[in-house]
This record gives sequence, structure tokens and C-alpha cells, in this order.
Amino acid sequence: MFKEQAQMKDKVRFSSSSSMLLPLVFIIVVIACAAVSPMFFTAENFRNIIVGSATFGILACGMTVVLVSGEIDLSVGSQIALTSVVMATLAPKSLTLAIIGSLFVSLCIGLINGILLTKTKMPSFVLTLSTMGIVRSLALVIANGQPVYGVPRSFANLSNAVVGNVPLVAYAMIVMYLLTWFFLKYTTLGRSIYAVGSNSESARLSGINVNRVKIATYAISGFVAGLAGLFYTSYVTLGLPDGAVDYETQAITAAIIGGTSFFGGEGKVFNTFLGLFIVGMVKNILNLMGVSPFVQPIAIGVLIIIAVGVRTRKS
Amino acid sequence: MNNGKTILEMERITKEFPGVKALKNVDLKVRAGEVHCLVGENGAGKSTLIKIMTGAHSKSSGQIRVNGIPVEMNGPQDGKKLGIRAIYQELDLLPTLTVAENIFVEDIPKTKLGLVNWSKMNLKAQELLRTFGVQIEPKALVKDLTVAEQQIVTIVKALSQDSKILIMDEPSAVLTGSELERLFGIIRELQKQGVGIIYITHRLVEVFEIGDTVTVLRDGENIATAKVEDVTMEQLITWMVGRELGEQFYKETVDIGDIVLEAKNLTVTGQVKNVSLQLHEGEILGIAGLVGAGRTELLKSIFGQYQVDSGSLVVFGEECHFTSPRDGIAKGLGLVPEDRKNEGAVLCRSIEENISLGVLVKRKFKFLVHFPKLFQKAVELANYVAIRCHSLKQEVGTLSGGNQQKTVLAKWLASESKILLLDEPTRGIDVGSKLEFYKLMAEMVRAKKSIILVSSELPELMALSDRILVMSNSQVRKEFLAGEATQEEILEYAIPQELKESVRAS
Repeated sequence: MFKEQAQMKDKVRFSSSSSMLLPLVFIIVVIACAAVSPMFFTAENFRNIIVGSATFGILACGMTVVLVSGEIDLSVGSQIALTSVVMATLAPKSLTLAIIGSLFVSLCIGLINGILLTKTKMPSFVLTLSTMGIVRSLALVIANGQPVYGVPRSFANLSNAVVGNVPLVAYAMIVMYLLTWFFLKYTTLGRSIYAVGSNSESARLSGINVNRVKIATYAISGFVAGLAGLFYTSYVTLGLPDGAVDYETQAITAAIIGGTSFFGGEGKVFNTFLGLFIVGMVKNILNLMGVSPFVQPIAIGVLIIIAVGVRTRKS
Repeated sequence: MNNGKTILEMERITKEFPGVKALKNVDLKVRAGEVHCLVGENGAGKSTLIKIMTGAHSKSSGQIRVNGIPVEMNGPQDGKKLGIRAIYQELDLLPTLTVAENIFVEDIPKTKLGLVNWSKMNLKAQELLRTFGVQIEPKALVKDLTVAEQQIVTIVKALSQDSKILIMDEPSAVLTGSELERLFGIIRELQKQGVGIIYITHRLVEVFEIGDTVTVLRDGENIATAKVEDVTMEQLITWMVGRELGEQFYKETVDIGDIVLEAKNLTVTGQVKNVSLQLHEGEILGIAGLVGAGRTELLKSIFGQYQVDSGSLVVFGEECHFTSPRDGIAKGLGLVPEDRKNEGAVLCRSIEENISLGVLVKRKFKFLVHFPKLFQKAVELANYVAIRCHSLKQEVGTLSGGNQQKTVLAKWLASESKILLLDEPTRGIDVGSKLEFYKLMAEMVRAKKSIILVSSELPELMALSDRILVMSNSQVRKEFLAGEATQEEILEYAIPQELKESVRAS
């Protein structure tokens, strides 16, 4: 906070230009992709991108909230797997019960993460690294390591449903982003999350109950992971205890390409949305061009290094 | 003004931290409409006392009464409910949030639906900032403000709420003259409204300017409480340090030798403009100027921290182009930076490790570290600069400001620096440690080292320097020899031309 003025000036310059940087990159990527492949700029292809990114996209909403609070949640990918197993296991009894039950389970895991974090004061990276393994293991134990059949056709059809030529998941994702934006911008809890991420000691001295805010943040992250899990289950039509591997890193990728600070206090969920789409489009164009999927992570890696490197590099 | 009723009473307050008794049976009473100054050396327990007052720390024993009623506080929220607020020394702001949000973080204006009312918040913030007479954009992010502006935001934040007791922990540390005047104006206004003010400061002059009552803490004990009109400055200092302090400054005359460092038209775009200076062996060259005049930047560009765009730098007769501090250190330079906590010392490591850093950076092509030898050197130097600590294994972050500063100095002695660049080395350090630091500086020059000293305290600068350069707007405006100029004359050159004109215009 007390950097010398010289650096501050640099930051000012950077922050005014960086607000334009991301939309610019977004547009450049769109144009570049359209130039490379005639198949890119088609409704069908955009539907593919949206459907392919939907689960990460929803997950990235929760991840943005957690990152703004100055923490991280690595356990969300495992939570999706557990949600899908719970969903598929309960669905034959009652679909409503299955939906409520799986959301409840993920909310509880989020709460447990938050409570453990505030009680032990351990770094969230380490804590959620542990719960990531624990939750994954729970899913595998419940499902006995096998895919769980039992997701009703009606629920599975949701992922294919289209309203006015736009997939349902696209609406769901847009609603999620609007809700998250509204939550972060206009609710007291949302602003408290920024405050805690900005400087938790100052936030505490300003009378904010930091622990409660952190627990709430993880509860939100868990609940959002549960929602993402429902979409995932509908998409794969199974309870997959070993599914959704790496989803947390995808969500983190979208958020940080969108400019969310890894140190908390800064981040905009709409920028996460742009980040998500930039990644989605890059993957998509590589597919269209027939580039091997083994190469794709290289492209994403380079993209992160460039996107974040440009921001952090001092003049 | 002293006739208001007692609103806060603290009785026999004791606070124990593991291994340390920070406060021992401290009593303090604050009346409505009173400015109660709290003074004491660093580590005397002032910060601990106010944190107990606000509920940020819990007390080990003792009693707090507000308006005669005993209270128990379990967190800062409880203090706030009782109308006790603090403006902390370590600016307690949220850097990535806007100015308006910082001001209203405790009580965000809401719409009927309970949502954040941004337009109302920005408007109210604008009004409050205007009453303070400053041009700060409510929507600006706090991290983009200068330190002085940040300080103003903390003050405005505290004023935005009704408080019965307002605690100000060294608000003057980063404020300039006119800002301080405005602060005093506001304090007097609050006094009239019956707010009890606790004012902590290292600048004792301020006690006499604004205070009604003064309490002196030393080593966690209440040494004295007196009406300001009944005490003298000397009396206060004696209470603070526990002994008579013969002199405030210390300076020895040593023979000034040849030129060791010469800068010609040194320029760093936007930071330093055409600065030329010469530094001689055994000389203390003072640099005066207001905050933002480019003094820190000058030191950093000499040291190699900033890249010089044009001009030349000759060190010990050799033309140098430093691309990093490493180059500067190799040529015998050492910088004691203004921002001690972030740039000077590695707070989370031990004293001996910090000092040894000075040796490590000078070693070339030696792969393994011989710790006993390395730490032996650290022991010698720690004794030489007289760091007060339980053990050299102690983390530097646990030391008082003065001892942290000595550690940083010892690091450069370990690297055998011949030219020391000292940037506000005595800021936030208590009177006793300051004198010790001046004596160390005298020893340095006696050992044929040279010093460039940047200080905002003109009496200090005038007493210690052999020559003084006055900077404003990134340039050197004037050079004075020791004893040649008065404070007023130095200020005349330190105040930028535009500022003078704007003052005249208003």
C-alpha cells in the first residue's frame, strides 16, 4: 500500500489502460479466429463454445468471489464430482430430493472449508488442496469407483434444451453472471468480500466480521460448485466420481485472465466472463484447425502468461 | 475546555503478550472536549493502550469505564458502539477499494431495498472531503492516492461517524504544514462539540499547540499526566526517556576529504531533473525539500534502483552506469530507505540474518555459506550499533523502529559501504534513539565514510549537515553551507513556484 509515488503513477497509468485491455483482447481473438476459420463465426459453433464452457463458466463465478476475498478454493472440481454422484444416487428416489440434496451437500462442504479456514488460519491453498482430495475420495467411496447410472432422461435433456435457438445453459450462465455481479457490487456482503480481500486487518478494524465473511465466501463457492455440478450431471448424464478433474484450474484460469487479482480485493465477474470466452474461443479455434488436443494446454498456458504478464510487468 | 465531564476512564490496565508486559497498571482519563496528548518513546505502549481502548486488543486486567459504566470490549465493533474510534498509524485503509467506500465501510449508505447506494455514497463522500478542503475524487482507488491523501481519507473516515472519543495515532507523520493546520482546525471544532480526543505524536511541539492534557508513557507505565500549561518541553522529554537529555542533536567536525561521488545532470524521466551534486569524504550532505520533491527518487537513482536516463555519475573517480542496486552496492553504496518495513529490513527474519545480507551480496563466486563466521560479523556489528534485543535470533519485525533502523544500518556496515544514503532515517523513531542514531552517523563520518541525508525535519537536517541542497519539483534549487541558512530561507526554495502562486491567488 505504501509504494512510492513513482510506482503509484505507473499503477494509475496501468489501471486506466487495463480496463480497455481485456475487451480489446477479446475482440482481437474474435477477429483472429474468424479470419483463420470460416466455420468459426457460425451460430452452431458459438453454441458449441457456450455449451462447452458452461460448467467452467458457472464455477468461475464462485471462484471469482473466492479470489476477490483473497483466498482460493481448489476443492470445487471434486465437489462437482461428489454432487454428480449424490445427484445420480438420489435421483431414482426423487428428482427434487436429488437436486436439493446435492446442492445441500456442496453448500455444507463450502461451509466446512470456510469454518476450517477461519479456525485453523491455515493458507486456503493448503486447506482446499486437502479437501480437494477428501471430497474426491468421498465421491469415489460412495460410488464405489463406478459411474452411477440413474439420472433421468428428463434431467439429462436439460443440457440439450434450446430456447429460441439459444441453449438453456447459456441463459443459466448469463443469469449466474448477472447475479454474481449484482451480489458483488450492490450487497453489503459483496462489498465486505472486497474489503476483506483488500486488507483483512483494516477490514477487521473497520468492524467487519472477517471470519463470517470468509465462511460466507466459501459457502457461496460450495453452492455455486453444486449448481455447476448439476449442469455437469445433466451434460454427462451420469454420476461420475472421477469426473470434472481439473475444473478448478479452468475456473481459476478464466478469472485470472479476466484480471482478478491473486492477492484479493480486485476482480470483476464480467471480466471473468470475457476471460472464460477468450479461453473457450482459443480452444475452439484450435479444434477447428485440427490441432492436437495435447497441444491446447500449451496455448492456454502461453495465453495466461501473456495476459497476466502484461498486467504485472512494471514499466 | 477542561471542564467537561469524564467520558472515558481506564484504570490499572495491564496487557501481557507472550513474554512481554506491554502495559503495567496504566491509568488514563479523558474528558469531553479535551485534547489529551499521549507521548512516549517507541515501544512505550501507546499503540497497545489505544488498541485496548478501541477493543482491537483485549486487556489482561484492569477496568474501562465509559460515562462511569464499566464496559467489556471483545472486538473493534464493541468500541465503535460505544463511540470510540481510532485513526491508526498504519493507515488502516482498503487499498483496492474506492475512497468513498473506505470512508463509509462501516456504515454503507443503502437504498430502501438494503442495497449499496453508490450515488449517495459518492455524493456524501464528496461533501465530507470538501469540508476538509481537499480535492480527492471519491471514485478513485485508495492505492492510487499519495500517502498524505490516504492519511486524509482515514481522518475523513473517522469524522464521518459520530464519535465520543476520537483517537489519532500520529496523524501528523505524513501531513504537510497546511494539511496539519486544517487538521488542527477540525480538532478544535470537534472539541467544541464535546468530543474527547486522544492525540498521539512524536512531535512534542504539537502537544503545546493543540493539547490540553498530556500523559507520558514509558516502558508500559504511566509516568505522568499533567496539564499542558504546567509542563515544559524539557520536562516532557525527561519523562519520556527517563533521564535528562542534554542535547537534541549530535555532530562532530571532521576533516572533509576529496570528492567521492559526483553526479552531473542526473535525469530520470518524471522523477529527477538535471541534478548535479558532489559528495566529499567525511561529509554529510543534507537534502531538504517537501514530500514529492524528488529526494527519495534522487537517492534511488544514485543507488541504482532507478535507471538513469541521462547525465553521469562518478563514484570514487570512476564513471558508473548502475543497472540495479547490486551495482551500486558493489561500488560501496548503501541505502537506508524511507520505507523501512518494506524496503529496508526483512521483518520476518532474524537480526543476524538481516545484517548478514550485507556480507552475502558482496560475495562473489562463493557457493557455500560459513554461518559461524557470517554471524560472528553480525554480532560485532550489532554490538557496534547497539541494537537492543533479547537475542540476535529475534525477528526484526519485533524490534522498535529505532532498532530496526540500526539493523538496516548495520547491514550496510557489513557490506563495507563507504557512501551511505539515508532517507528519513529518524522518522517515527523516539527522541532517545534519534540521538543514538546521530552519534552513529558521526562515527561513520569519522571513519571516512560519506553520507547523503534526506530529512523532512529541518532542525535535524540543519544541525547535522555540512551542506544542504534544497530540492523542489525534482530539481535542486539552491545550495547552502552549514549554518548559512535559516529554516525560512530553506523553505523559500523548497516550496514549488506554482504552489506559491496558487496560494497568492486564493
